[in-house]
Amino acid sequence: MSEDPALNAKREEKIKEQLLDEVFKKAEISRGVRPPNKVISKKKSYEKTFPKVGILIIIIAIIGLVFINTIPWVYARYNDTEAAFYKNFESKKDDQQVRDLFKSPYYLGLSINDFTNAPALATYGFISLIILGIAITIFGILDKIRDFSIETFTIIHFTAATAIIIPGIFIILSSTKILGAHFLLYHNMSLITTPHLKLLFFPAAFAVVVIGFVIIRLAFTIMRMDFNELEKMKETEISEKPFSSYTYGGELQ
Amino acid sequence: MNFAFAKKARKLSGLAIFSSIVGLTLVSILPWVSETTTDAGGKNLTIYHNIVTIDMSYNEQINVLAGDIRLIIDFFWLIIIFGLLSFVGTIIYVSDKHPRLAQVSLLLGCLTIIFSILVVFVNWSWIQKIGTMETISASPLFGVSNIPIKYAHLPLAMGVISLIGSGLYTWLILSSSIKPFIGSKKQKEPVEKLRVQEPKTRQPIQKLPVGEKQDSYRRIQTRSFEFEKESPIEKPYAEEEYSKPEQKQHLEPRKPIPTKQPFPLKKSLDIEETYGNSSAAEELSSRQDEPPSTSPLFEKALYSAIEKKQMEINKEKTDKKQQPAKKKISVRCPQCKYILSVEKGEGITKIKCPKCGKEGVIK
Repeated sequence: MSEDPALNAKREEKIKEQLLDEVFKKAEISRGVRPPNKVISKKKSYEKTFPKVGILIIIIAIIGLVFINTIPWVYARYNDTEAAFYKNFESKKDDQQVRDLFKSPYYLGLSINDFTNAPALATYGFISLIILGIAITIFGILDKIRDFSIETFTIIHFTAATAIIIPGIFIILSSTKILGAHFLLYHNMSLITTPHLKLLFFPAAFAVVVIGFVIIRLAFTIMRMDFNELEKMKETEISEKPFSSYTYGGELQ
Repeated sequence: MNFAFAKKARKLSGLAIFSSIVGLTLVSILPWVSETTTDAGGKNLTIYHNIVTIDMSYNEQINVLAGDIRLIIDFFWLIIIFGLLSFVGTIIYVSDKHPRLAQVSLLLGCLTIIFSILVVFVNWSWIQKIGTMETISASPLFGVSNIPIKYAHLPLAMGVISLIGSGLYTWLILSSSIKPFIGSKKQKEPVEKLRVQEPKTRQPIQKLPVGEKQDSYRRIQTRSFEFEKESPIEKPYAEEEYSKPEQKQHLEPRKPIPTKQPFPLKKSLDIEETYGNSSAAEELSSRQDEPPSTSPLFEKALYSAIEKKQMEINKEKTDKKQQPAKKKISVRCPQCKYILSVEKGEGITKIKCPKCGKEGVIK
């Protein structure tokens, strides 16, 4: 493809002019004739995003509440008979043999009352998470109206994410007693007098602990994302270059 | 503000927090103690106890051990709380808002090391203490007594991980807090030395003819490009360095360069692309780190441009200076005898009487 020599010369001239102008400005700055300015910048646009995390936390908390109320807290199998006990140790058919397991809590460390306390504690934990989720969402809406600075927005968002960890730990600890009983059952099985007990499992407690860890992991992820967002935002400011640059003596490519 | 520093602090703090959460869970779940008793038939029985059943036990030795486990739980909680505070501190630090608050939060996070040490110490002493007891022992992992690892070692391992995380975090924070003080002490001396030398090295400004002035200005410009690669603290002393004799040799007038050579340029280069596209500009900017190689053609072009610019600046200055001050004079209208004040510049100034409208000129 042939190029117009006049046009090429014009281009060259223009580039030369620009480069020389820049180098001259640089020289002026290095000489101290002109103060270094950051007026010409290649700032990328940075936009705040609506915090969807609040909604996500609310959804997770609702799932947790559903799990607490629908998944059995005790599942036992003995003599080819299955028994499931739900929240507050309620069962469709009242199984006395399973009830007897928790009458003397010395070997398992569990009493029937624990199946009332643990769901209640977990429920409070999930409710506090819903409140936090609502607060984050309201904050997101407020930000749309009042337009907080990115720093303020990120700090509040990050702090809210940090606050999520506390109910997350409470949710886990609400069920650790039941989980601990599962371990004790494994070791003290020979001491338990219930005849032909084949399986004793606490599905809801396991589910609650898993959800608790998921919440904590989510909080850590939110914090990391906030941190990276702020870094990205700050970098766009820092990346301001006074001039499009050229290495003195280098070859233009 | 250092992002790498804050990121590292956040990661280390996160490690301490997460290991503490896991440790806390393990303390509540695992069977810590195994008690050996005999039943009515004289048969040996081993009963495992976790934190809940320890409290229920009738054995006084086991009850004593419960206090230490509760202490471990409390210390894990404290690590989590102070770790979370340091977490918030990192984001405040990065945001550059409330630096004091950030500093306090980050320093509070250093307390995690104390609690981590306490966790490890209490846990370790607990294992040692239970080893001396006769009827009770630390529960072996999965009930296999041949394995030297006990359940109590798992929270200890979490405590050690937490200690590593918090220890590194504390080292990072404290070293960065102390650094400025050490740096200021080190920097103080050379700065003072330079201040003392200042009157000796600074040359009096000599008035030069216009041609020489431009030539010297051109040389100084050339030197300043080389100073760009030096540390920022040296930049203000560029003039002083210029006055050194060994550098004067470098500033000898250069040989004439053939002008007919084409400017090295790729054919496909587009100005808009080069300067509009940030990636291209970044690519060019990355080349700044490379050592500069001399291009006589470019230098020549640069000199001409600097000269041109200097000429323009000088011209502007002289134009400003040469502009005569306008004189304010009073003139009487020859027709209506009205006296009006007029600003008279150089040459002929046209005036018009505001009363009768007669026009005239002032020479």
